[in-house]
Amino acid sequence: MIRNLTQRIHYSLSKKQHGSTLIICLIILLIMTMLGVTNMRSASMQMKMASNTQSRQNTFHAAEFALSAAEFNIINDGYDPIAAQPECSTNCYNEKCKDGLCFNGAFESGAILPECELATADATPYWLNKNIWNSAAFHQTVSIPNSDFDDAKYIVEFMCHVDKDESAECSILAPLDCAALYRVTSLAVSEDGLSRVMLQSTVAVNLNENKKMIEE
Amino acid sequence: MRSFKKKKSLRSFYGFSGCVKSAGVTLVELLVAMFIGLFILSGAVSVMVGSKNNFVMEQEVAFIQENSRFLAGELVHEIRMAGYFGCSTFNDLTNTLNHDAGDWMYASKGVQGYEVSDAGPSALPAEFSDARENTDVLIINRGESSESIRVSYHEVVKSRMRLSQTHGFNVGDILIVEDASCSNTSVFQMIGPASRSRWVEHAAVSPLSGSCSPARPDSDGVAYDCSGDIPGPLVKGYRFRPGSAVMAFKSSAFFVKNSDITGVSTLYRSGLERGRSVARELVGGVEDFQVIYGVDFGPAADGKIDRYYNATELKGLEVEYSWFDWRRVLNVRVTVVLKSNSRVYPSAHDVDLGGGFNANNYEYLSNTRYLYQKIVVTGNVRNRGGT
Repeated sequence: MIRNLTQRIHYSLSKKQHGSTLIICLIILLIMTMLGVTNMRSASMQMKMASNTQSRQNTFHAAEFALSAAEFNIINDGYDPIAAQPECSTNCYNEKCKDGLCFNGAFESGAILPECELATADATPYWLNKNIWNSAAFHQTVSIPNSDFDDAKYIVEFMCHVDKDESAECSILAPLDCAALYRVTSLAVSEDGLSRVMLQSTVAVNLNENKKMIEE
Repeated sequence: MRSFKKKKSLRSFYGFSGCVKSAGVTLVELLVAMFIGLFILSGAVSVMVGSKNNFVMEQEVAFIQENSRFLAGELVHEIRMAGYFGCSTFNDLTNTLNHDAGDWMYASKGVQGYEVSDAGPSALPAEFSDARENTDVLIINRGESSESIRVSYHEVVKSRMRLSQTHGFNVGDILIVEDASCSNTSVFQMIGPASRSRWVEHAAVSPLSGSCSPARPDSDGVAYDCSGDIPGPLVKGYRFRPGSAVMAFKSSAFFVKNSDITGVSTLYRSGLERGRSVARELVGGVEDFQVIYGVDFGPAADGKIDRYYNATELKGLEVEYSWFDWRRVLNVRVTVVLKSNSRVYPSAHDVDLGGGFNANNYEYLSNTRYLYQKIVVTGNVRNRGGT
């Protein structure tokens, strides 16, 4: 009887001892696993965020590139009133935005500068029109050098005339105080199509600065 | 099966010899068992402590990285858009707000700044008096053009504009309206209606006229003092054409102070809400915020940056040269030092942040257990005429 009891005590004691280290170790292991899993999830989330940020940055710079290329072209080409007037034959600013050159307004042939009126209709702006970006006939493209990007797209709107600087007062009496205003909108889309960046800026070209202002 | 039997027979042998107690656990057995147990446990615990430290480190790195990414994006966006008030740089800006000339939130300079240790004629606005010593304040004023709403038509006689969609502006908000032709811009305060609608009402006595800047209605709100420029008392104002855009006037002042909630050094953004400036927490754990400005220096502007100055130096230049003002700032460089939430390193050590941006404190942080990161953000102020 006594032997039986001690044996039972002995068994349960030995079981308890072996088990406790094991169980504590298992609990520790469980905690470590949880820490590790959380860590891994947060790391992969961080990586996603970082790569999205980078993708967006790249897209932004692609759009920026198209924008500055377009700005450069406008300044380089200088001002040509014919381009927005009805008698224009090539590279014309038109209402449909063909070739990415848009102008919605009235600018009569032989008008006395700066007599030009933008249409006053409450129309959807050109850059919000999907067709313009989807169809190659209605925008221009710039290829982004040394990158995997598709060509960035841009459109140029002719916005009639404004004062050329702070002190100038543009009018029929003083056409040389005027500058022609162009609004450039560019759109770049990342390769995976997830980040899209649209940028817009305006460029003013003085009326007396006709073609080829920048020679070098 | 056989071994079990053997064990059992051994035990019964010991038990039979009468030595009942030692048959269970001898001292040596106990010590050995305890030693092995402790050895395994200490190994496991030290591995766990290591992995917990790792975990904390990882979390803190993530915290700092996230903050710095957000901050860099936010700051560079603000800097790029600084001074945007309509699509033409040289348009006629009419400011119909009745404010004090020194109010930072209604300035049209685009970029301004203060050093918190500043004193003198253009000292720090009282709002930033609890900002952290030796940090900087950066102020950006601009129109929120990416959230602009088109004007369907402008009823000058009723002093209101109908927008193309229901807007989220509130009564009291400061708004900008830029004409579709890019030739006129006005800054005004929305006075109605109180409920969500497509209408924006502006004060009848502040004609949203096109050709004077800045202007303010006089005390009885009738006449319109525009220091010699056109609009007289009877001018009804400019009719903004369909296709014009209405946007919020956004002013942001970035500064560092201890958080009201957590007590941690935090970057605040003070912005306009219903015509008043309200400071809100932006990013926690910002230890230092330093700004220098790339300036086109010289009597004639050439669109090129000649030197970087800090805010105090710029104020000195403003006093010294008549041709100089904040519009000559073409570029802003911001240095931010971010600090982790909790102690990361097991023992204190020195942190070298590369230095060179603050004469006072943060070239070298000594004896710290926190994790630090310095980020430098440089942005061009795009709305400065040049490219």
